Amino acid sequence: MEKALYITEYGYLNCYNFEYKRIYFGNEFCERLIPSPDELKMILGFAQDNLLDFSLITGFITDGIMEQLEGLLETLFKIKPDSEIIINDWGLLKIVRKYQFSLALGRLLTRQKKGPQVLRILDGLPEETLEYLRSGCINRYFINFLKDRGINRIEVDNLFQGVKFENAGINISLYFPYGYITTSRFCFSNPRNRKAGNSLGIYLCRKECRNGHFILRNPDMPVPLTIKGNTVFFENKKIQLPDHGNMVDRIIYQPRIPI
Amino acid sequence: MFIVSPVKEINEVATLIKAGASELYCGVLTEDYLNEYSNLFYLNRRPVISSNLRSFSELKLIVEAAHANGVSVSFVLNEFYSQNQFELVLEELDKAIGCNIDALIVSDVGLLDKLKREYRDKTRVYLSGCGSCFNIEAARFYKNLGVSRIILPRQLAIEEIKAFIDALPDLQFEVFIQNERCPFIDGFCMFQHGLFEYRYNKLSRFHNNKFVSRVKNYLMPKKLSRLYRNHIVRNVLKKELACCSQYDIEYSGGSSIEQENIAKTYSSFFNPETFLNACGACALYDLNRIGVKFVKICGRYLSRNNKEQDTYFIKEAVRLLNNNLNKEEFVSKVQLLYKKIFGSKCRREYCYYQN
Repeated sequence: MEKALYITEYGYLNCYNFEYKRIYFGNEFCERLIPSPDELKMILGFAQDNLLDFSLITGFITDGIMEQLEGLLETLFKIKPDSEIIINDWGLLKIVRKYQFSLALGRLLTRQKKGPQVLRILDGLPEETLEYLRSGCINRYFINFLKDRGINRIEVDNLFQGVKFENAGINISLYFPYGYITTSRFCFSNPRNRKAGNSLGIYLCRKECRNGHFILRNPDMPVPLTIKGNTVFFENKKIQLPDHGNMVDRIIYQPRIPI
Repeated sequence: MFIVSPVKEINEVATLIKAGASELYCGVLTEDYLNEYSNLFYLNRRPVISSNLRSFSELKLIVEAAHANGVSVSFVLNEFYSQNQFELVLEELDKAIGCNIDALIVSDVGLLDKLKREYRDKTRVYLSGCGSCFNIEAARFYKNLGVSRIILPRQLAIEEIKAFIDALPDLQFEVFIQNERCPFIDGFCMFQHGLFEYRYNKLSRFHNNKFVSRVKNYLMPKKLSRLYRNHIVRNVLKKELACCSQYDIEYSGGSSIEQENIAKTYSSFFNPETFLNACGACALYDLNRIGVKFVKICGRYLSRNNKEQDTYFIKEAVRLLNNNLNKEEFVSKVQLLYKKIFGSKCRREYCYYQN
């Protein structure tokens, strides 16, 4: 089992130890948090010094940010062309394929159902429904489609109801301990979304999300939720993988909520 | 500009067409399916009876009635599917095509690929808003998969929408205009829907009596004025949708008065009222200017009365576009129209497009 460390800021490299063979770096959820070329170079320097593999994690993006991301890919290709790119936006596929990076499909596009409130009713569900909630929205047409386009890995979250990907026909990475549930372009941490008379929207920010997070509790929700910036997460410290037919061959450890 | 309205019963068709609907869209959810798989194994994004037709024979009648009036009907299969679901989807797909629908609304890339290979000549394919198409390259990706129309996600600004239309003139683009403005991105939101109805169905199996029937009628009344949507807000949505629930919230991250204040006012973010009552009518002026041709009204679950009001309101707002008004005059007249039709003033928090 390969172990990877996923960080969103250079400072979190202090969580590195020799167990990890790969570094994940970047941001999946907010295009304003795409790293600068200088940040990328610093992380790549660390990866090269420690003989680590590298994955650049990208998010969903709008046209306004496409050029910046392409610049980052160019930098990455010059320094470490054997890197892997995690794609969370179909619009990136064509751009990324200009280079020879290996490709993985990120968790925004693998679409497991994750609301923890489902834990309250798991016992009474039909078997097929239960299996669906554990395996997510992966069908063989989709897997074939990915493979035809050179995507040989999918990324999934560590669900409370367990994960089950028997004979999925593709390599699988499991994120741990934070799973994302939902995301937005409307940032919860941005005070402008509270200003009287403003509808929820996309406002300029000072990256307030990086300062802290919010914990949400509700009697219907068996576990607390966490909001950091524009994204809702759960934390699940227990990994439950089936003994047989398991296709998970990489665990991605997130020492901090990945915003 | 064409108005795309939701439908869930045959007796809504004539009303909606008369109110101004240019196209209709709907899904099917049968009792048999629910009994076998539950509300949590869903083939379209609204996994509740109250949002769907009950049978494909009803779909056939709806298509016939719509076609008789020159109105097209789209069928939603806009979820993402596991292998087991995929087989069921193919069955539904064939039944829907057999009903002579005009288009499918789809999100799953595996399904889009299958449709392109094997169903190319049988139906048109539209990308659902759940396809999360946020940039022009993504639109090209979907176009290559055979979609002829893209329903853009809610969280795009007017100028971002314009960029799509300018870059891809051979694709149709549809945008949301009324109701259900979720604070999160539909296609990336992995909270389950259908939990409330699942619990309700379980309850009704054990207590199949008048009490349950009264609860159901109270929660989903046949006639529901816009004003009384708040009944749904209070009684259903807070249980049904995790994003509309009430949470105790605390800030963790050192001392920040600003962020602690955000915690105190979180309900302005998770507000079921703004979710339900969202309205983009004022933005029609700009949407028309940039060349948007299709506007979508959400709310398949709503009563006929509500759908009629929403459709009529948007039709009248679109009609105002022909009056050579400037933007300020247009917005002012639309706001008066809103008050006249819905009986209360609109609120800025309801704006679908950022004010």
